[in-house]
Amino acid sequence: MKLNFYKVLPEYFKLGDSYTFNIYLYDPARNQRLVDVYASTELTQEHLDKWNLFIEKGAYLQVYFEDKEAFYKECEKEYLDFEKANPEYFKLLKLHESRLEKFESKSKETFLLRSVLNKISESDDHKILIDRVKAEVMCFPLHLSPTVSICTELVDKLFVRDILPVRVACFAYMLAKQNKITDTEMLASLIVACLTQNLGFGLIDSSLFSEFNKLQFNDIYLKHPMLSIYILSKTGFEFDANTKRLILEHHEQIDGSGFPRQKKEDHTAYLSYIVNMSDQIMMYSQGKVNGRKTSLMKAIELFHKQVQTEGVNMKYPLRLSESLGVFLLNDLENELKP
Amino acid sequence: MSIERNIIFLYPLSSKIKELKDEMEKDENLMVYELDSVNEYGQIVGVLEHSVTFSSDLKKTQAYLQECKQFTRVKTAKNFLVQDKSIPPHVFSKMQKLGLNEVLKEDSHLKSLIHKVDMFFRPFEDKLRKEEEEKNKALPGVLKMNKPTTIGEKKSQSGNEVQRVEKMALMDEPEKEKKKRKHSGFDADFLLGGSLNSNFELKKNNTDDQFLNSNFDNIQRKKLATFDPVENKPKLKNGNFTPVVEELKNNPQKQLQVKPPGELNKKSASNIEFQDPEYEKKEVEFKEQEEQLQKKRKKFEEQLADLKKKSIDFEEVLNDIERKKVEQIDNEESEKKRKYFEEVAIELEQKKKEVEEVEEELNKKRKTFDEVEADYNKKRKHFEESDLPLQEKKKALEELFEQGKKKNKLFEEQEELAKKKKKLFEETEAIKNVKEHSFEEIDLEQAKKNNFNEVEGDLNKKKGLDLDIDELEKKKLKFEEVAIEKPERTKFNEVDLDDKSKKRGDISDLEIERRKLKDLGLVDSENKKLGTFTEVEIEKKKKKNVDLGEPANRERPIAQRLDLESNKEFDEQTLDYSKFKKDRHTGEFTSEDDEAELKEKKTTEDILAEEEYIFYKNRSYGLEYLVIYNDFLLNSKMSADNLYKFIHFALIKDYHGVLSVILLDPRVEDIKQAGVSGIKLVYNGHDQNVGEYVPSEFMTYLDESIDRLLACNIPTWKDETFQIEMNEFIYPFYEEGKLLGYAICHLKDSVKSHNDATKIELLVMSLKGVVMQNIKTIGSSS
Repeated sequence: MKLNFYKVLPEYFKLGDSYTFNIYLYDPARNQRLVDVYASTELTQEHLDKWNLFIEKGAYLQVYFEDKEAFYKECEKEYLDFEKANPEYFKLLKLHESRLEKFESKSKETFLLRSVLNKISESDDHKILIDRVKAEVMCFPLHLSPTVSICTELVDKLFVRDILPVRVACFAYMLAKQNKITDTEMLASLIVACLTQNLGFGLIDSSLFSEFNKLQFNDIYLKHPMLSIYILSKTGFEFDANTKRLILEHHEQIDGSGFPRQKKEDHTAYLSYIVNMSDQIMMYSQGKVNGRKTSLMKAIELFHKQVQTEGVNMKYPLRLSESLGVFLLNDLENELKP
Repeated sequence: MSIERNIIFLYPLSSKIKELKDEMEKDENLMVYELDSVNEYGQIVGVLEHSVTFSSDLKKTQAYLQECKQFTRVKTAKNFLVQDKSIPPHVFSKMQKLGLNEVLKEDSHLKSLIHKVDMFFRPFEDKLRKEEEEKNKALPGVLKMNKPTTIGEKKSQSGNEVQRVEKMALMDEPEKEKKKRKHSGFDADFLLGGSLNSNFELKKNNTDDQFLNSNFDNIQRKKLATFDPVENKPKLKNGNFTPVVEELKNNPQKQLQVKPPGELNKKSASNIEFQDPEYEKKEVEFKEQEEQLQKKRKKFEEQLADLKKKSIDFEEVLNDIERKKVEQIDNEESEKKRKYFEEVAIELEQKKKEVEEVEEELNKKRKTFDEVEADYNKKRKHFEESDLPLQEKKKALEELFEQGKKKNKLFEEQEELAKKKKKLFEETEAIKNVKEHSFEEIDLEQAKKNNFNEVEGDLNKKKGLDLDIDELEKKKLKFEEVAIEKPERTKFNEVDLDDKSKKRGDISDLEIERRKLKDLGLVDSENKKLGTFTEVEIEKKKKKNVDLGEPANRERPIAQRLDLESNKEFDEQTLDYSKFKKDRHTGEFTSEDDEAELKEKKTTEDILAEEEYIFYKNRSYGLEYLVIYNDFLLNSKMSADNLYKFIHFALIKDYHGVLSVILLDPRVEDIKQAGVSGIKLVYNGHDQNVGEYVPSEFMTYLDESIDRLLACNIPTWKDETFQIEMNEFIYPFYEEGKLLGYAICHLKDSVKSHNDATKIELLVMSLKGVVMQNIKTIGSSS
């Protein structure tokens, strides 16, 4: 996260002085920058008046990062003054640096996913997987997109709990990576969608959740993706289209037998199928579907072989269900260990 | 003016198609065919100009479309499939390729079907009419030709046609004939109906009638299509059914109420005169002609065979002649060869004889030699045995002889050296005359000088053998002069021969810098290999080897001297300019000025275009609570009270707030009148800290503010500017337009912005599901 321009305040410059660097004026509303005071130009009152006028309207002064040293020297300022002028940037920079310090080494450790899944099957404790995904997500750069930023914050706050939405998000993240989806923004969207896909449940009569099998045939349940979108819209933040699409399509099936829009095949995003499958696997293994708990590996196997099970729709793209097969194998690295 | 409207119904027929067929049969303008087999369909559709086919069986439709795709895919044919179910799109697309136009549902309206049929034929009719009108316009009014119409053939005619007929009726018959002859354009009516004046009337339907009468296969039909007894009228067959339309319309089968299944519609076929006498005659004539043709063919084949035979004979004759010629030539040549061979053989014999004679002489000589040798051996033995002092004398003589030989050799060597000197002298003279010397030439001179030194050394050794020293000294001096002149020329010493002309006289600044660097030892040894300088080094080594063991006081060779004097200056100065040029083109070679320019450009243009980082607020918008709440919802052990508590906890944690939820008793009709008694407090978070958020107990507070509470129809903040210390938020829950209850929150000096307010609203809103559950339980308990 390199900053090309440092925001500077007008009081850093003295009237009548000339500097060896350009002073830029940036208008964030128009995303336009211009050289306001060229190098070796004497600063006049006219300049200062103009700056005040523009700053009132939201513009601000900038210094190019290569001129940083010259700025320090000629204006007799130091690093702290930059921090004062760019609080958001330095706050985020510090946050990101601290996250990297904390999680980077962990995110690069050898992680034997299949061994971990086997362990999870035995103990029903997803902490190892959750920690790993958290470590990787916390290293996402914060300036990439708003979704990435929100994703890191949600992961930071939620991935300390071993709860169903977190499990679904972790599994979906690993499944997506298994399917060679490595784009940071896509993965961030996937995690946000996995966590927030069922927020609409809050608006459905909670007594219905006691019998999940019956709930699935209730009209209001079929509308929950839309309700989730509605709740997200109430946050006051405009989530990106991809995230909203994943939430809206997370119950669609490849043969058009899903809901709410009965989309078919390529009309549904591939990531939506990943969200759906991860949700179904976790729900099934937790016994939310039929009341019987199943080990995670067994649930993965069922979905891999597309064994028709009551309460579960197994209509997924073949590539996706085949990719689950990799989870079922033993880690070669593990086997090769002496 | 109309075209023939042909409607084909393929069995089996659905009820809708049957209805349609009945409807169609009523219409006199339509020709209705009922067909059972695909073969029949193929035969019929091939000769119909325009047709619409209705079928209701998918398999049969596919079969007929597949079989007759050449007729069904055309624009003049339309194919409808009428059935209950809609067919899958991929099947339809397949059939569409075969010519299926539309799949109609069984429940589609009859009128719409008829309309479809009508709409199909109409454009063709319009087109035909337009063509007709254009033709009429092209001809002047009076000269307009009478349309040759058959009586009763055309029932409907356009207004123009009527006028035209009237005009034609006024015209005289001969005039009509004249104009008829003048008319060269193709006239559909003319063909359809035929003319009284033409001979086409009877001929035109012959083939088609015949075709309908027999079960022709596809091949036969093709033949018919190609066989055109009337030339220049290819569309004649299209009007094949028109003469019998009137009779067909009577539909004799209908009267009889008999319909043989799987046959062609007898309406069209039964009333056609199949036995045409003229056709029979023509057929007989044709057969006769064919027989005659066959006969002629046979004759022609026989003639061909004869010709072939004759040609074979001719070839044989030709071959014979050639053979004879070859034989003659062979005979002449062989005779010559024979003669020559005989002569050669004679010569050989003579030579053999000579050889034999020589051998004999040799043998004789060998014998004498052996004898002589034997005598010599005998004499030698005798000599050795007789006298030893003689041997000593012989040795002394041999020594003397060898000394003499040596002297002779020295003389010879002296002579050779003198010759060499002369040559060298001449060469040096020549070198002097040359103004510019190449590096190689200088090497040659040095080599020569070295040779001279060698020669000089040899000569010094042999001073006692009458050598002219003065001359040698003179030559030596001359060589020294040459050596002094050389350093001036050695400027070109390291210059490559190829680049000599380019580099002469001027050395760039870069070169000088390189030299300086070289002097300072900063230039890598690899750079030395850039030019052809390595050759110079090799040469130097060679020269050094030559000079080894030379006397110290002797003058050094030129190159060696140059090494000592100016090697530092000129060594490794060869610059490959072509390489520099290449580097410059590729951008590898850049001067400092260029880099500065580039840097300057970046500062002026690129810096301004660099993107500004946007800092995305690292916020979660309270979604983490909702996610956890969502997990609680799916947990069957989680009670409604716990869910309220969770949201209450969230409010306490983030905003130091309290939450209470009240529900309106569904049994109470008028809440306003009932007051607090009509309200049920399902969650009381306020009374955990009595007096902190509300002045009294919460129920007392409710009693005081019930009217204000019930007036809140939408989420309401007490202070929407978030200025007051204790803010109140009331959130009403609705389901299907019915007010269920309220969530009442008090927040102590924590909500400062709309973002905070939104988060609180979101948290409270998510309680709706639990509220609904509570309402249900209250309703059920009542």
